[in-house]
Amino acid sequence: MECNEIREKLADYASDDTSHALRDAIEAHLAHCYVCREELSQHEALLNACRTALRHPLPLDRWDELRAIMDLDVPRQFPGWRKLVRRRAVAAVLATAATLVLVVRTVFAPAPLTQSDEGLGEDALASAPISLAPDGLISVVAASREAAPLQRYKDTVSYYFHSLDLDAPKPSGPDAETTPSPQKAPDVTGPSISLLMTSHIYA
Amino acid sequence: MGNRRQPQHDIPDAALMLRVGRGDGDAFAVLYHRHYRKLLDFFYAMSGSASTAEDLCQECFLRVWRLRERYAPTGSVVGYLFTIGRYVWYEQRPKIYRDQRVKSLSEAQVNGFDATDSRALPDALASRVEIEEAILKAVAGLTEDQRMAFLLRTIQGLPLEEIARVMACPVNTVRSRKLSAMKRLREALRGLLVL
Ligand SMILES: [Zn+2]
Repeated sequence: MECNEIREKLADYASDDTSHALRDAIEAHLAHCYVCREELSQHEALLNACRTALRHPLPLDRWDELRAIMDLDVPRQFPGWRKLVRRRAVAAVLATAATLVLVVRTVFAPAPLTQSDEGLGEDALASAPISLAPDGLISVVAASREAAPLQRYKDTVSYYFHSLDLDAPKPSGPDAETTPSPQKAPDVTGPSISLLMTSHIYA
Repeated sequence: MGNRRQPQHDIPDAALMLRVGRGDGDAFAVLYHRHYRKLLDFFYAMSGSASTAEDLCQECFLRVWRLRERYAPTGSVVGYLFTIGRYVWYEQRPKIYRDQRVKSLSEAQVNGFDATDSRALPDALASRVEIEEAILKAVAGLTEDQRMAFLLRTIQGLPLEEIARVMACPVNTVRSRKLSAMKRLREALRGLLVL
């Protein structure tokens, strides 16, 4: 082979991407051609410099950190839930149960609602029919103001949706997926959502 | 978790990954320690930032863990790690580039170093740190596909066929991207390295 032909192959040769036959031919040529040897040494110098320069300067082992995040992956710790019922079924049951609880709470509320509870909130929930679409109910709960005692239901609903990895309102942004909050289900006085939910599932 | 088992350090990647698929965190720890450096270097060369590389590396392994049940043993585990790594790269890329723009703007005010300006660095005076900076900058000047093909082949040493699987393209495309990268790097670094 001529020098021109060989030179075109030297980048592949330097990065070890030539067939055995081609490699033999190149090496036979290099044995007697100083110019092509120089050309090859430039390819090799480039690769060596890159291999040195492109290494992370401080390759710390961050396994413990990763392990801690893995342990916070709540949904994976309860695989039984996933097998128990289909996701959509759980979503519908949860929404129905949440409404039921909220309506019951509102109807038997001992004190009148505060004037500051504008728009959504217990007023809206009290008048919401049980047959309202699940997504609409979730929106009502999620969008309600922090008027007691509604916030506690809101927390409970979002907790259960979160723990079941459903398409419930979740924190947005890139960290939402990586750092699930390991919050506990808040205490709820009156009929509990989990009880209602369980009874629905097994009904 | 692991006290009832044999030590896992001699077990091949594929067998470890199957254990990971069944939720074995100890097997995953062995895989992590065996390969995190590769991913770290890869993301460092892709992004040019040590801290970004650390975050992307963690994100990559977290994805592997979360997707463990879906793992199917085709190709090498290292190839699988880089496949997830490539996915993470493309997913996080807008944020990486946004951060880099902010960073480079503030750095440009501090020093006016430019690797493409050969007058800025007389050959004999170029220190090791300067050479490394210039190489990072030259690599950043490649297209993403060229950069990825070049890094996976020449730095990580993955076979072309494996890279083709990772990058979801024909083997010849990988090879031509690698060659284009080498050509452009030589041009960008001529005069800086003793080429
Ligand atoms: Zn020659």
